[in-house]
Amino acid sequence: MIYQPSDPVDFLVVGAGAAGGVMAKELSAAGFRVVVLEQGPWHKAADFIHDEISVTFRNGLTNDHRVQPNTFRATSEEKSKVRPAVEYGRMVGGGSVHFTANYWRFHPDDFRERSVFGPVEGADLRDWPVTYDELEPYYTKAEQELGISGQSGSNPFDGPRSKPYPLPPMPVKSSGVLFERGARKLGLHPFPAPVAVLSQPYRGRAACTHCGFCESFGCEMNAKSSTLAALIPAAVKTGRCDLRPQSYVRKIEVGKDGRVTGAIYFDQQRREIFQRAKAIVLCANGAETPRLLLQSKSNLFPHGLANAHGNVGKYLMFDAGGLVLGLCDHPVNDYKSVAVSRVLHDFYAADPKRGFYGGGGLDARMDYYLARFALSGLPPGEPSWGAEWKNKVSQYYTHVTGTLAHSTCLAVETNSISLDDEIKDAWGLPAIRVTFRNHPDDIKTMKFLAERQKEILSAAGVKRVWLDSDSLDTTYSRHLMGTCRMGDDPQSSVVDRWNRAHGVLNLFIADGSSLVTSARQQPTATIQALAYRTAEHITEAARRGEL
Amino acid sequence: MPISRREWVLASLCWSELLNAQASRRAPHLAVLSPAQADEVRALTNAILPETETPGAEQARTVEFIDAALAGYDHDQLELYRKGLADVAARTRRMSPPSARFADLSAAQQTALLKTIEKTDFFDKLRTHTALAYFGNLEFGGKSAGRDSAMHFQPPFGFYDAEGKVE
Repeated sequence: MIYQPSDPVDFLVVGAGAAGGVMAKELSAAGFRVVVLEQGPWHKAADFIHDEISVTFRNGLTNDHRVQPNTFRATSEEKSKVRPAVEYGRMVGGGSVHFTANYWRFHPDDFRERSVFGPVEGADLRDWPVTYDELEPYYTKAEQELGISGQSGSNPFDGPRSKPYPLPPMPVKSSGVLFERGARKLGLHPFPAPVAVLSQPYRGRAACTHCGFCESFGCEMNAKSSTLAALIPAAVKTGRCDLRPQSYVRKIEVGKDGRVTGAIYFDQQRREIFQRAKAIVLCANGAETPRLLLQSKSNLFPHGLANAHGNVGKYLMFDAGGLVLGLCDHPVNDYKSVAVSRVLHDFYAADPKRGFYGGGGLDARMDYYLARFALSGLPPGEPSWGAEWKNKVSQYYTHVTGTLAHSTCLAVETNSISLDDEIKDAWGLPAIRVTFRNHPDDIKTMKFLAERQKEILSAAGVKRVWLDSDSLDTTYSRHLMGTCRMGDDPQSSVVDRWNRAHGVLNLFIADGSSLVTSARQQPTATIQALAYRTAEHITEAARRGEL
Repeated sequence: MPISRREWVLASLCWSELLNAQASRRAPHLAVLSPAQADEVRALTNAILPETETPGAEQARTVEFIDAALAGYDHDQLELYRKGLADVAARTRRMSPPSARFADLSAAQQTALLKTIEKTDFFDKLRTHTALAYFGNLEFGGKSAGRDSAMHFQPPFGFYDAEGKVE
């Protein structure tokens, strides 16, 4: 501990993930005294192992629902039930440690969908108060600071960019070759995947050695460009970043003037500590940030902090997109190297002629480790146990290719994060209650894209192609977006265009919760660009004495 | 493509050690399952994932894996196992009185019995645990699937890489 809890530091950052890591680095490097409170542990690269069981089946790097249960219901009329619904990286580095590493920018139209496409019945489609052009310098900054590999100019649907990717693309894989073959036959425009993985050494970190354990795993080489690998060391080196792992915040306190004064958290021994701060930045993710705000009730904010108009937790948006697989004659070996080497944005924009709203990006990947493949990766109609099951799993695993869609999840007011009335976590705090049911157009989009995915694999010459039916389950998500949405009007949003909470001068929220739309998923680049922009704004405001 | 048994032995010292351990009939150390329960779980998981040209559930020490899981991470599933095993015993007794041991049934009887429980939560958990013990272990499932066990790779990764960019 560098700073005493009674010492009001300049900034308290809650969450050390994709956004919190950016905040930690930017604010401490700008000369501020920063405390960062992170729920999870602080791993070293050497802690990251290739064990599918402990990592993907037993929440090795993510929130453990046995100690932090969720409850779920489709609508508020239903009684909620205990079941896993949200998943996030619970460690220093957060989701940037264990994400697949796809690193797309949102398109210019993603920030103005309402203006371009008009209203969508049953959804609250809105323009962002920020444009792509305003965010572009911060996308560039994120790509340069973190280390992103890709081929600039290869995606004809991308917005303009001020700088090329700092690193060349990763080598193409067989899944990417087949995807590209099929897509080009259909007149589409596949391009090398932009990924947060180093194709060459960069800023003291080694290049990827293609072990194949990106998605869901941490990188033992530091070649994945997580905030843990790329930013946290520099933040710590300033001597002004007091990063405290295993520190679980339960409440933000406010003073009589309505300004936040600090946060109460449980340390590793479950002792309650109150850390004072002059300003707070919430980067706890799209589920934990609204939960913390709702838990932070006070006389001034009886419905929770920054919730004067009841918007906190609303417009929850989840991950969406189906997986289509295909069996090839020769080895694909998709278990090697980065998950994705080719992407396609031809179906990204919405098209009113389809009769529904939405679109998606497609990428080339099989998306399975071996044990999970054995349990649910075989084509329909194959045996699920016995000698023939074992043989089919063994024969198919190296020969399967695939394509995964990343598609629209429309913002719907009734989809939300709230506090459960009955269920508590192991610290005695109310469980996260998820209320979620897709807008009907989300499902139509996924089905539409699945047909395009099948066409691409078939055009590539893959004879046996199938939709992985489990992949259309949209009631569990690793993308947590939209619960503290950004907007100019305090009546209908939680943060302003600078990610500052409406009505709470010294509180900022910079994570997936401020996203106004889901675009076409893969939100990490946008979350980090917003974090860089917010950090710059906060720094200038603090220097002007405005906080 | 399945590889031969001979290739297996040559390929894996680790596996041969396990085989030796198994051949020596050392009683496994059990934390929560009784020896009788362990015998039944062994027979059930061998039926789910039998030894063929490649090793099966038993060689991957699936019983020890399940026992350790039920004593640790999956301790809340122990009751499901107890009830599931009792149900299997009752079904076995009906199928082949007076025996109540699944392990004593013929292969055809075992298959027939498993078909009657394959939609149950117990079978689902048993199958999941068996898949984890075998396919979650690169020494077994990985080899069975022809997955290269190296920690790092260089391109080309698969057959189609060489085609590169297709016009």
